[in-house]
Amino acid sequence: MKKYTLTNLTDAHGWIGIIISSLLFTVFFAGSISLFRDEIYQWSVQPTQAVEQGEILSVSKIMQLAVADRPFNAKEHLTIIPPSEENPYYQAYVDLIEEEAGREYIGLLMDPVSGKVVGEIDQFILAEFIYRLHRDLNIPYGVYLIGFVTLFFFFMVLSGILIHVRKLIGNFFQYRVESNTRSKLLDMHNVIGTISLPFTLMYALSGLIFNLVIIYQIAFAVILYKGDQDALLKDAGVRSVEVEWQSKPHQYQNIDQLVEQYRLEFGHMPQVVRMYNYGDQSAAMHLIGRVDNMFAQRYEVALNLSDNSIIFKDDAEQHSEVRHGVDTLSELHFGGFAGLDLRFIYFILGIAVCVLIVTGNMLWIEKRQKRLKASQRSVKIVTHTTLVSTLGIGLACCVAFLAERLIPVSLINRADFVIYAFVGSLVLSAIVAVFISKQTLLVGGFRLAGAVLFFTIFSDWLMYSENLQLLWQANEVTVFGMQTGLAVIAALFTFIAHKLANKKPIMTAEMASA
Amino acid sequence: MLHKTLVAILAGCLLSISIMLNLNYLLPLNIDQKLIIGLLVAFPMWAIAMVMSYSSKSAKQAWKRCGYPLVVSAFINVFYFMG
Repeated sequence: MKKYTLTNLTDAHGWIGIIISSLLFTVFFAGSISLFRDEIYQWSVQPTQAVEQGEILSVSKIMQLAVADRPFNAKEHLTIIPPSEENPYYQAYVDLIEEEAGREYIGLLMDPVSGKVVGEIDQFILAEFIYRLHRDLNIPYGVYLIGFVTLFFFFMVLSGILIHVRKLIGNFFQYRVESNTRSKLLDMHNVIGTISLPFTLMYALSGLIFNLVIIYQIAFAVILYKGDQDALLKDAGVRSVEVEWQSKPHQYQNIDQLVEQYRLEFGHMPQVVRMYNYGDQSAAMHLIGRVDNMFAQRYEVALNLSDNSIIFKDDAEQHSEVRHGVDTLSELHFGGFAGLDLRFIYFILGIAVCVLIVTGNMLWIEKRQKRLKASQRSVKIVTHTTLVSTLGIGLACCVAFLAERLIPVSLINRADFVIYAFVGSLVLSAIVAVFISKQTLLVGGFRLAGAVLFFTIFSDWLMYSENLQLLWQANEVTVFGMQTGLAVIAALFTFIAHKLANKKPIMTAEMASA
Repeated sequence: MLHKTLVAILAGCLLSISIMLNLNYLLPLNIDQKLIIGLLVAFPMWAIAMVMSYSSKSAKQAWKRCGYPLVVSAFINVFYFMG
């Protein structure tokens, strides 16, 4: 490789890294937490509800209860998500007559035994908020912004390989403990980058396909399909159910039998049961679920309920490779193809990439500090941005956890307050970072984050001790697993703060001197 | 750096679309298989074009590096499109 090629690539690697680092850190940090999205959701909901024991209600009964006494728009959809290991409640999305209800739909969380509505799905926003922070930053067009950040991340990974290629094998696990600060940071950056390489490549590619596929979709639709987007979607395996309303009220006797029939055929309860024209003779049912013992294989069946005739059926034998390919990438991306242990590994790797980003920024800062001609103002700005976008995001997430627990379930627009708590903490940390030293900010930030998480667990027990005891007796342990996880992270934060306060290791010294 | 970024994004995007279309014409597979293979190839092609662009001495060299393969690929596109 020519010398100027390497120099140019190193320059681009550094500059682009600095530019995208804040957003990339947010994506990886929120994504790592989102691996436990279902567990966080259960932790949010379960302690606030009394546990009902008994036989689980059927899908058809839940449908009746979901639409009862609501301005249900039967010409639209009724979607039921049956309870599963990940979520013990029935979830029902009921499309409403907008003129009467003042909203398009309502998402209901229903007790699987009593059928009682325990709340609205969107009331418990934390898990979804963190996931959307990962996916689109919770902003309009954020999905494309994150798509381009991922594209540059892909470039970073490739350029990192090229920069490091000659030493990739020889220095695979090199970490020079006794050497100077820069060497230590560089070794840390390289070791993490090398170890996480398959993971980062997979994340870059799958993230791009999720967020920027629209570019190729448009190109294909215009050039290959002469503007016929429907034909493209059909080839890509995107199916839709279209049934014509007949205005003939109908009582269905066969919903539960059909659900059971396909559960037995594919070995898994449908993850989604969607009704079209529910209540009319023209009604159709659309079932989506996993196929047992197959990697990333889903089944989709759509049926006319009047005569049980099949509208379409996709399964292991008959499916679109595009759909299967995207499902495979999705399984790889979210670590959904194995158990909790795999998600822990993903979590560690995700956090490792966060460390990779921080060490990259620190290397850039250190290099700029040594250059006499370099603007020290840019160094300060990057240091401040790095601190706020890493420590600030972490702290804001901790505060959001506490807000999710403390804000009363009955409060109107409860979800908004959780978001305000997150944004408020982030803005506050950005302001505070201007006025106090970096050392104080780091130590204080980690201490505060640890204290907030400990207080969150304490609040769990203070507010909902009775329900928590009932959950324990019912052998529902997800909430306790979450509490253990939060306690471990809180202890880790406290330990890091203690270490930083006493020893002033590499990271603190670098940030402080900046 | 800004000019190279422009080349990296624009030429990279066009090059990847063009190659994806050619793959679609050339591969003797079902349409759904061609679509997913094209998708899996397109983004790495774009990222490789970015590497080519950023590793160049100047924006002019970056345009040349990405432009030549783009022109060749575009000719093949036109050939198949007209045919």
